[in-house]
Amino acid sequence: MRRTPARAFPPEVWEILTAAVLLSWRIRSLPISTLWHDWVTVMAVFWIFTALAARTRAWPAVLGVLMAFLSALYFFHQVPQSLALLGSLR
Amino acid sequence: MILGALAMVAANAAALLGAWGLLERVRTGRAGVDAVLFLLLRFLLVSSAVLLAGLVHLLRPGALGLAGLAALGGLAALGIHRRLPSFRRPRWGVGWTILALAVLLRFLLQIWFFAPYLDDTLDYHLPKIAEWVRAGGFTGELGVDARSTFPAGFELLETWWVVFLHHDLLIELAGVEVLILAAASVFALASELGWDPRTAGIAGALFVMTPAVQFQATSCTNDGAVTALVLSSLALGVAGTGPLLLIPLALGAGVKPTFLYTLPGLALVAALFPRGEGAGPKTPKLLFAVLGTAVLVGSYWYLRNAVVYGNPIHPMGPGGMKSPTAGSTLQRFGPSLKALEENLSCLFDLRIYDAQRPPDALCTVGFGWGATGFALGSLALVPLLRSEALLRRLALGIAVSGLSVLALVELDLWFCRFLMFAAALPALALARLWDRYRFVPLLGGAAILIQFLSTMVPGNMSAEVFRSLVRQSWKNRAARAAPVETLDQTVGFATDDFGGAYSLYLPSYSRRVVYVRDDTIEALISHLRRESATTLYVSGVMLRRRALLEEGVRRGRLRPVTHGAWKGYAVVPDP
Repeated sequence: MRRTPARAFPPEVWEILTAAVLLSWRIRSLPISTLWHDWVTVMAVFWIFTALAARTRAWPAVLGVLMAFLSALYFFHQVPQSLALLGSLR
Repeated sequence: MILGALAMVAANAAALLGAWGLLERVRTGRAGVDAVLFLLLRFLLVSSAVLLAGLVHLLRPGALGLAGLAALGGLAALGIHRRLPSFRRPRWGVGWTILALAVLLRFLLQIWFFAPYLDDTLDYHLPKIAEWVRAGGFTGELGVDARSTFPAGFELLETWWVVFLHHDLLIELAGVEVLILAAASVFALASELGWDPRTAGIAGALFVMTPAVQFQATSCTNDGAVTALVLSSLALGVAGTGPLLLIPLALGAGVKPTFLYTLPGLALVAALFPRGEGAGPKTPKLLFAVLGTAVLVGSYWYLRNAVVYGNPIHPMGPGGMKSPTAGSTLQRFGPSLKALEENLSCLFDLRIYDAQRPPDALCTVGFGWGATGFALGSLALVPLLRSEALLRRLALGIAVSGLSVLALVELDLWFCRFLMFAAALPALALARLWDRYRFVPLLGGAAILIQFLSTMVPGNMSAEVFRSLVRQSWKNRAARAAPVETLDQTVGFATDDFGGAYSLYLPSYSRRVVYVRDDTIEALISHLRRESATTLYVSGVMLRRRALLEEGVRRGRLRPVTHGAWKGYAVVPDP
């Protein structure tokens, strides 16, 4: 039986291509120096890594590191805002 | 007030027992979906009771309490109270139970100490409630704010929580009620995806901890209700409940037209999760009555606008809705690729970081989804979307709904509040990974703790308002105090665009407010005199009516007054 072109590649290839499109959108629209803390970039890179290495022992560690990194990024901006609000109530 | 409290207990008991009685006839047998249906049926019963009572001018504690007692008697005679389920302690661990109790306690404190504080609620959501409760029924008067004719389905629920005490002390309970519906819907979604009850419970709890969702519950705005009804539609769609899906769809349309913007995604989910064999109720007559009531309740506001203004979506027209004075576009009509592009860019470049302000109910310059969504849940989604086909279908539906909303709303400081339903996805994903890796509960616990602490006071409640609310007695508590100079008098109110008439009614809804639309000074003065109003308060810049009022001052018919934060005009008595 002839295989359709879509079936010629494993699903991971399509995932990587989609994530790469997202990544190229961010590279094109943001300064390179800001990409390391761009949420979409982090998600796209993690998607590519997951497509390539989901079954490796490194994958959970990378997930944990990225979760901690994004948490720190979020709280770095957010916590001072909330503290300022709570401080103003005294 | 004690009699009012007793009437409230009786009417609520009747609404709960009635919802249970209806559920017995339409239940699916799946606990999560049935919990959603139960809450939706209660929402429907309460909304239809308030709508009917308003139309026949029986929107009074005594009438509703007696009706509740009669309904209780009838339901008890049918033996429905004997078939109520026994309480089962959730099996999700001590930590989650403590969190749930802490959130519940905090809600009780916020309900007690907060009074309606957002401009939108004071301007056009709540004046109509105040008018209905004061008059004991619908008077035909919705206020003079440009947005006062918007659908008011959530206001029916809020009316339920204020009509018995004739006071707005408990008004925030309506928001908490719909938050419970949202949490139950997330629980049902997780259950329908085949996840265990603990994971489903954690998903519901994580959604509740979303900062914007927390604040919506106590803000008296209707976006939390829209969120809950979108999620319950998704839950019923995933469960394949067939016609029962019409209940949240109709109620959602009656709460806010932005609910309808999510329909493409809801339809996709209903199509991707086909109806199961034998699913749906077997009682067609009752089902027809329930669905017919839901459609009537949901369409009432559109029918009213069609009859009164000849346009079911008045004041929206083909050009959207413009500011009556500034002429700027407040809301667009129809989809726009440009709006989609602008909103998407703004969302992903700025808003998702929540970096510019503390969280609040309106998602002001942020998304308000917390670190649990931004940092943990979103990353958890990546592996789960690869491995779980059902979650992928649900995510596709939510994404289509989100894109549809973004194509239909104008870019402004608050548009992310229309997307709060999307925060259910990271909540589901994080719950799924919660017990899989040890670092997830560690990071998640820290994020939840910080989110709990950062949602004590909304970011858009000023320190001055907060301090004033805490200091006032519950009887007089108001974010914008009414002028003390005219407390026992009927007053007039006029605005050209937006106006906070709500506070003029007082928290006890005991004062009459006369809305002024007259175009000549003679008509205005004679209108105020006819209604025995001695003072006319104004709001906004009054670009259109300022000349009229200045003419009244020039001719000695009006005298400018400043009463605290209120500006207005005293009617000068005839010599």
